[in-house]
Amino acid sequence: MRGGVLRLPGYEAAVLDTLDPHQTQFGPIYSSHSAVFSKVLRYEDPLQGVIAPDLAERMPEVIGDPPLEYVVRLRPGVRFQRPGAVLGRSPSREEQALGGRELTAEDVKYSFERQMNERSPRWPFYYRAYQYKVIDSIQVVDRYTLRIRTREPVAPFLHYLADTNAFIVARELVDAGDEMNRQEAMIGTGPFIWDRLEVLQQSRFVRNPDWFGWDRPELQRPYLDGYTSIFAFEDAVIEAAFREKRVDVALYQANPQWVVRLRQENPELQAVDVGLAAWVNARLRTDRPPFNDFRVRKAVHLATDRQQIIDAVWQGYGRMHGPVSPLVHWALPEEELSSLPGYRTGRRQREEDVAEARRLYEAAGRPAIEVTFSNIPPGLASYAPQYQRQLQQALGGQVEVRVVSQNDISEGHRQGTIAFSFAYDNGWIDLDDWLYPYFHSRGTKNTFGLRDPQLDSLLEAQRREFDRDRRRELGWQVQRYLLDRVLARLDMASPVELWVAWPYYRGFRPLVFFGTSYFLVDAWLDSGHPSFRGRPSGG
Amino acid sequence: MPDEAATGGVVPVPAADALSGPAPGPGVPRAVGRFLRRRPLGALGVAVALAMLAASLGPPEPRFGLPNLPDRPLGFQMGRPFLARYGPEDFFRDDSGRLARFQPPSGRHWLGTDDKGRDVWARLVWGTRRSLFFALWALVLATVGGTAVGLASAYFLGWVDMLVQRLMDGLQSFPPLLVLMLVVTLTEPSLRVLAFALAVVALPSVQRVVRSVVLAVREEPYVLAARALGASHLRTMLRHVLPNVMAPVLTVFSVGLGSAVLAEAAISFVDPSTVPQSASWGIMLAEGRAYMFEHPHVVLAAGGAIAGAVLAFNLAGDALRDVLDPRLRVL
Repeated sequence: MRGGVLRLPGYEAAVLDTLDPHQTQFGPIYSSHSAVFSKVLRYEDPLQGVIAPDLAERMPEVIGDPPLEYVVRLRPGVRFQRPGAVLGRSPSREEQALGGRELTAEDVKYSFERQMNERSPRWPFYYRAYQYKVIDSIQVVDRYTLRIRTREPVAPFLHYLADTNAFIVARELVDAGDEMNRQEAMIGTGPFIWDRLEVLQQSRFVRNPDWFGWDRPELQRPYLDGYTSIFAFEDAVIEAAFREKRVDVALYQANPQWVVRLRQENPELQAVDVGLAAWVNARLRTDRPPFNDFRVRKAVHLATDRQQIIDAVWQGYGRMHGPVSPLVHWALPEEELSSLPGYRTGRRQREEDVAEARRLYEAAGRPAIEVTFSNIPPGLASYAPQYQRQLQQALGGQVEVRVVSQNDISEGHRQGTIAFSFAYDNGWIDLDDWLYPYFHSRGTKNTFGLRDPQLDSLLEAQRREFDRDRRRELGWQVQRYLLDRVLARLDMASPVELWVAWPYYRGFRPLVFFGTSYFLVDAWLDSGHPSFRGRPSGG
Repeated sequence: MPDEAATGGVVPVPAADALSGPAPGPGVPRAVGRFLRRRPLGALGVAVALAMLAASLGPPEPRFGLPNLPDRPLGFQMGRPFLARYGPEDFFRDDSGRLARFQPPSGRHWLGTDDKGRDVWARLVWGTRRSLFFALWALVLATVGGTAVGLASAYFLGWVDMLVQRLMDGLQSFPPLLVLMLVVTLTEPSLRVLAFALAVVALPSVQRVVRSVVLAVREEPYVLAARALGASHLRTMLRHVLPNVMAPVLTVFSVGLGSAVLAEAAISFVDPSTVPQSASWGIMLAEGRAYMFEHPHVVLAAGGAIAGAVLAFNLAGDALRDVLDPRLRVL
């Protein structure tokens, strides 16, 4: 045993859409991918925006002022995983096809071009194509070197290479239908091998002994022998599992009080309170009634009591959310956001907002409103009737709610059949991801039917601005514009998670963003620590 | 004397017109008095069931349509239950304007408030309407269907009986909760669909009881006499056989109500998103479970209501069986 097998509660064993790393939208699945697949670059600190090389030997050479070309030099000797050999199983057809070969510049080129291919039958499912469409050409200079040229200067281009989904896959793993939606195809060059996925039970990962180890291979990371994500979303189940040390780390789902109590009972526990990038939003179709009328959208925006959502869904442990998460530095300053109509919490100000909401709604002819809620997580679905009541009270009109699966929500967005959805979204690191794909006329997540040339030019301007402070200022302009004149995506709130971990869990780092499971390379279980006593063995 | 096993423990009673005349009764008040004295638990069960019915009723509103659950169970809209002071989703705020979560019992909130600042008593009463009418719907459907199937199957025997019974065997081979979960997963969240599914699941049990009684009754002389006199099959079944079936059917019905209440609560508890999100005892239990140590009043109220209702229906059913079974009759 090296660092042991970490056990943590999570949603990684749920597959809502697809296992394909380039086509999934479901955060927990690409969290699993982030342990298995590598990227050209990676985020060392997503909150501060610190990027470091992953497959790249060093940070890309940037050519031009403003930059238009990037020369990427890959580490030599990076090999695809051999799950059969490591796990003592007969190798799958996919593994045989790869044969543990070396990752080369051709793989990077293929992975990028795959997501730029508009002729693919899976083209509508490349949600992150907006990042790759900026590429003009990719030239393979030699086995380890690429020269990437963008169509125009793109400030977040290095972020694209490091983003939580920018995985490099092997061509051999993709089938004729341009999919790799198979467990056997989950073979990458990352620090962990995906051992087994037992849907709605657990997802198991083991250490990849051949992992290249970034800049310090001598550390022989990952220290862990593996980790297991156990599908659990009931507070009682998670609390019991944590107390019995069947999981080494825990966080609340609906009731934070057990975490608070646990911390009081066990002061030695590692405790971290940190916001989650995932947030709750409502999406409105702006190209058809009733939400093509800005007054109706604004009425819903003003009538929605965001503080009530925080109180009802997360028992007060949450933060109001503008168009960009308050976790990242691109967000509108909190003092500004909290002074805006719809975000104000003072009693008199709320009354003003509600009165204005009703006035706008009545001026728009009091249309009927139907809200479609996602059924996951259960805490959000159970809020649906209360939201209905809240809108009914505030607007004085007919409001219906229905609860459907997350898949139905995604499909409804794609087909334009859902006028008003209320669901979670994953949360992003860079300003561009929060705004461009959602609100640009050609954005891959623009399910609002939004076509606004002025907004498009603002979104393009922030892409062209390389100075971080000026880009942030442009980002604020976009956010103000969205709140003043668009209101297509009503951003509600995000939870603040209360984490606890046993002291024997070394290198504990809460995962704020999906797609950052590679942070686990620095984790290990200290079997010599007194708190380790009584921890049941087994994966 | 008919074989007891074949009759399901029920002695056939000739239809009223086959006897010389009705026996003089003791009078309703006296019978009720005796029932109260001799079956106090049964009386308690009936009283609780009646209280539930009273709690679930509200003023009729002039809005008609196809019957639906939970608010239009009889084809017209029912307003707020008489015993509920607030709507099921009405929420309350404290002095600071935040949700008044987990307020203790008070004059304003008799059972306090829940995690979303809603009145627990109001939700309990609204949940009574949902549970009760759901159970009534499902059991009425199951009883009518089961009686018809059992009656026809046992009356005609032969290949009809063989075919129907194998179909019933097939239906009973699936775990009821699994069937219900499957139905609610595959369809839009609807209590009407769920009630229908439960009726299908419960139908085989009802028809088996009916069939066992009919198997004995169909051989009785008065039935044979009716057939010899030229009565049609339909008339024979409805006029001479069916009245003998009513006593066990009523017993199955009342005991089944408890099971239906439990089924609705179980489905709502296991996956609240698959059923309409109106106030439900099962949903209250599911939501309250997360806070059961810090704020037990929500689960106690919902759990108590479920347990009380099931116990009441079972006690009432037992008492009804005793009263209607001639061998156990003590009134």
